[in-house]
Amino acid sequence: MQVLRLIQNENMKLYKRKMLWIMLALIVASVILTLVITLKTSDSHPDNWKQTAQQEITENQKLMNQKGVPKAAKDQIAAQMKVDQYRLDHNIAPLFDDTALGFVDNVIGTSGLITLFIIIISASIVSQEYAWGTMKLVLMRPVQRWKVLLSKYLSVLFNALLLLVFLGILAFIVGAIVFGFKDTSFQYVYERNGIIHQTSVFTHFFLFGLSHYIGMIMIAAFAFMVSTLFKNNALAIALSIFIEFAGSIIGSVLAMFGKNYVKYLFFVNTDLMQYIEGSPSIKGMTIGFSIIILLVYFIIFMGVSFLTFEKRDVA
Amino acid sequence: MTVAVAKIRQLSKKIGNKELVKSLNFDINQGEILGFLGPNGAGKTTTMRMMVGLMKMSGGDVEINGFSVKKNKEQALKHVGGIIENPEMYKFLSGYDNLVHFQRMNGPVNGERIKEVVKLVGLEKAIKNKVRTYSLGMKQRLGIAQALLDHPKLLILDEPTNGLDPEGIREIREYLKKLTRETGIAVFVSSHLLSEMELLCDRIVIIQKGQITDTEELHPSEDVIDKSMTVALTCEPQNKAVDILSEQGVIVRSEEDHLLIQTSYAKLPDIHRLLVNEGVNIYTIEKVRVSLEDRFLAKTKGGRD
Repeated sequence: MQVLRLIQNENMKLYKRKMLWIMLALIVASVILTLVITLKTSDSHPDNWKQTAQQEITENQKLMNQKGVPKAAKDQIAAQMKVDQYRLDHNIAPLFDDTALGFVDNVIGTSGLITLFIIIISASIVSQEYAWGTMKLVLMRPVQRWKVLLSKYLSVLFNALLLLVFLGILAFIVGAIVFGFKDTSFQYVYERNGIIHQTSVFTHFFLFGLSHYIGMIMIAAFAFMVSTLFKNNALAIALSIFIEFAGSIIGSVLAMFGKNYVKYLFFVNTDLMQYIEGSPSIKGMTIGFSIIILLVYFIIFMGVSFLTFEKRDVA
Repeated sequence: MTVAVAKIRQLSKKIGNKELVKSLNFDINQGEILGFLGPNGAGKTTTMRMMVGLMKMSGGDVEINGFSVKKNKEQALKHVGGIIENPEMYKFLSGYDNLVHFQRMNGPVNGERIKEVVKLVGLEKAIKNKVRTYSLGMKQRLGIAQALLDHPKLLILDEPTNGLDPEGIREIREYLKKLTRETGIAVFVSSHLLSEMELLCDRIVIIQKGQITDTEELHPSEDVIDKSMTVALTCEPQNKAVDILSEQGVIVRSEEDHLLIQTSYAKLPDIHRLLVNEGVNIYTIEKVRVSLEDRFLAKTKGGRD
């Protein structure tokens, strides 16, 4: 109960400032931007998608027969052909950009913006109390320190979820109003390990959101730890953004040089979607492996945060 | 009967080789304003920080309301309110929201109690405004309101008059006195301003270089009417007055523009009557108090030598 009240406090401090509202405005702006880009760049979807799919298969077949096409490209083309064939066989239309659900699918692809916001919130929620000088008043209350810290982290997670759901719902509403549900597909088709799968679009959205949310939990824990450790939000923000957005590139580069330890780095394991709707970026990784790695890192990040916070003298 | 609200025992703080606080021992009694006096860097704030759990103790313990701060911080601090250094509040929140915030840390929000403490410190008009717009004096008062929210038995205030103008200082002083009178709360207040302590406190503990050098009662019971005291007298003609008083065996010393007389409450009316009857014009009669400052400076000097 006490922790719930403390979370309420953290949310009050967040909502009474402008920061979160600016973030919400930016999310609205990003949805509008996606809408404008969709309207301006993509042609309206074909009336007869089956014909188009058939054409695509024929063209891809020609490409496959050509010499000089690299193997990696051929694999991709083959997968694409399989998906197209599956659609034709099962009568499942593609998720066109200019349909309600296709638009949602496009928009949630931009949720990296929310990760950025969550890094900022998580990196400042502890250090700002030191900067404001309010940490003294907070910690001389008859509340155990770990509860104060826990409520701060839980507040970050709560607001991350809030922003994510806000983005999804906003995209759905805008998509429904602008494009409507005509020709929208409710089935999602993807290839995993050479086999074609199909699932409900909403399951796809949910899994995508969940995977993304787990990524946020991790990077927020990292930012939280750096911020608690150094009482400095600039450092925590810079480091976390670097890892979040350059992490996968670093991972691929290291993997290219055959570095074996790369799969033990936390940021190459955060994208769980790679196991569900695709193949892992590095061979030998499984979803179970990634979850264990993430758990270990999470315990380390939280452990370091709580131990330093518990022990520190507040000057 | 004196009841100790807080017992400080062998309290020490060591950082590296530096002993900031060396084995302090003292009690804070119910209903008293205890001053914690010492120059800057003597260890006042460090002591207070340890008392409220902001700093770990290197040795000893503090017991508040029978609970050890070291072992049972949550229980011990339940009945403690305070401000350490500046009363830093959330500037982007209103005064009211700040109080809601700090009250919610201890228990459910109680609007009635918030109203009470706001009234007690006289912030009714500004309480809905953002703290950003407050003057320093208003922030101090909001800080005190925050400290009073949970009916504390002990109020710990670190330099509460720092940076205030004389009017603000007088206001705080009056709040604190009223508070101890009305609620029986104990107040532990630090300062390096001696004159300020003298006006506010019932008792003071003097700390220097991390050690307690003295404890003093500031207002010994003055109902002892036979107690000897020094009175300053301005009168005309001064020489004649000296002669008359000396004749009566009163110890008297002549200063440049006044007389210092060693006497008591009981004898003062007779002396006054005698002088008037002998035709001496009396302009002022004033009790001389050896100020705390004089005594403090004497001690500090002694310490340095």
